[in-house]
Amino acid sequence: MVGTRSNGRSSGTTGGSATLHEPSDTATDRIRQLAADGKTGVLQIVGSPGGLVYIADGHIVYAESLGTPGAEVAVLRATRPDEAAWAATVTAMQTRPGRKAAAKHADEVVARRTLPPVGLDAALQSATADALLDMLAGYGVTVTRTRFVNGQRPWIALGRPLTPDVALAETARRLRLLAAVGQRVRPDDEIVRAAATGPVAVRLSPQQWDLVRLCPERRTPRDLAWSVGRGVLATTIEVCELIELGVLKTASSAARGGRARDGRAGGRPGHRTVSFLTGAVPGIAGPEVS
Amino acid sequence: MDVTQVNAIELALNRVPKIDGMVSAVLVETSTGHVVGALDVGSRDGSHGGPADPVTTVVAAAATDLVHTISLLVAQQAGTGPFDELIVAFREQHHIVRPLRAPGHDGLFLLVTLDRRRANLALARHQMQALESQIVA
Repeated sequence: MVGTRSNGRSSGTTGGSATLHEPSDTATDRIRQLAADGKTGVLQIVGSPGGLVYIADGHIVYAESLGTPGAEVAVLRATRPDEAAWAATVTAMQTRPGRKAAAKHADEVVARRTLPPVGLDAALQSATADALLDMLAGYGVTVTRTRFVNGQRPWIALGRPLTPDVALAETARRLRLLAAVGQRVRPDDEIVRAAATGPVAVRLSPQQWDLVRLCPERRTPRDLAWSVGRGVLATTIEVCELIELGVLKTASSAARGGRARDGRAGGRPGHRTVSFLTGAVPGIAGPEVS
Repeated sequence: MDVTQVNAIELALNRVPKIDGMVSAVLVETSTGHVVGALDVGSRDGSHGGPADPVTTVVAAAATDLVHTISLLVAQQAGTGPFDELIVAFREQHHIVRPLRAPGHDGLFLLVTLDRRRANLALARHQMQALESQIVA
């Protein structure tokens, strides 16, 4: 899948060369101001990829980015759709009208109470945090302007709304994780299955198999996230671990003579994971973010 | 259109059966270390110890590091099977980490912290299974 995605962000073997940006002041200052004023409505983030932040009584209740799967993707994926039909649905959901239709369908599924409530709550929180990171900060993200529309509400909302401080702290934590995992693989890097080089046996979880079976062709972690209905950051971290296990590799590592961005040999099993403790504590030195 | 509000984790954690010596229970997204729910037994009103509490975030991050490290180890150790729980024993506290396996919850783990002076570890492990059942019900 080489080319330009509907979210306007380039993908491909050179897709990871963009600079990693801190959260945009244009957007974060506006969110804080709307919260301080106790507003209810939707903040439209215009840029690449752009998205929507829903605010109710000064708290963030939902967010969606065109570049990340929303809660509707997780809900519809949980209904175990036919694989061919699902691929078409995923493509459609990456447009604004397709997303709206999917949200309507997902709302009906949620109303039937066929999904486990705790799993749904976790998916909703995760989708919101994933979207905030994707539209406010990260590789190649731009925010050109914002526009607030009073009164609009999302199709689904967090039962425990977030203050801007809490939401942006989680965005900053996720950005540090993205910077760390980006040393090995980035959301828009192409990945492929690694050819077996010997009698290496690994035990994969069902979630890991979900990703591996989707990689007979070149994919990106972002593509995979849409296909499996999980977050882009979560999927990128999972892909990073599959690279560590020697199951997947980045297409670009081959062009670098089999070496990953950090200079380590690619495609061979390793034992290194992303440090979540480093991500949680701002004072601990990690990769630089501009 | 009415807005569907989802608040299941907080409700589930607030009705968990009491485990002797339990200090806190935290539900964490395994892939990212995101705290999606937290209960501080000393603060059932949520005034502290919630998902955004800095201490909760750091403890959850450390537990997530352990889960990922053990998962990589398990992946390369054929024949061990998936791990059921991790127990970290400090002089004052026990931390028990238990990945949820029920369908629809398999990307989450539960982290329970026990006061070592008041807890019976064997009993607490048994009670955690009931707690897990309650959460995924």
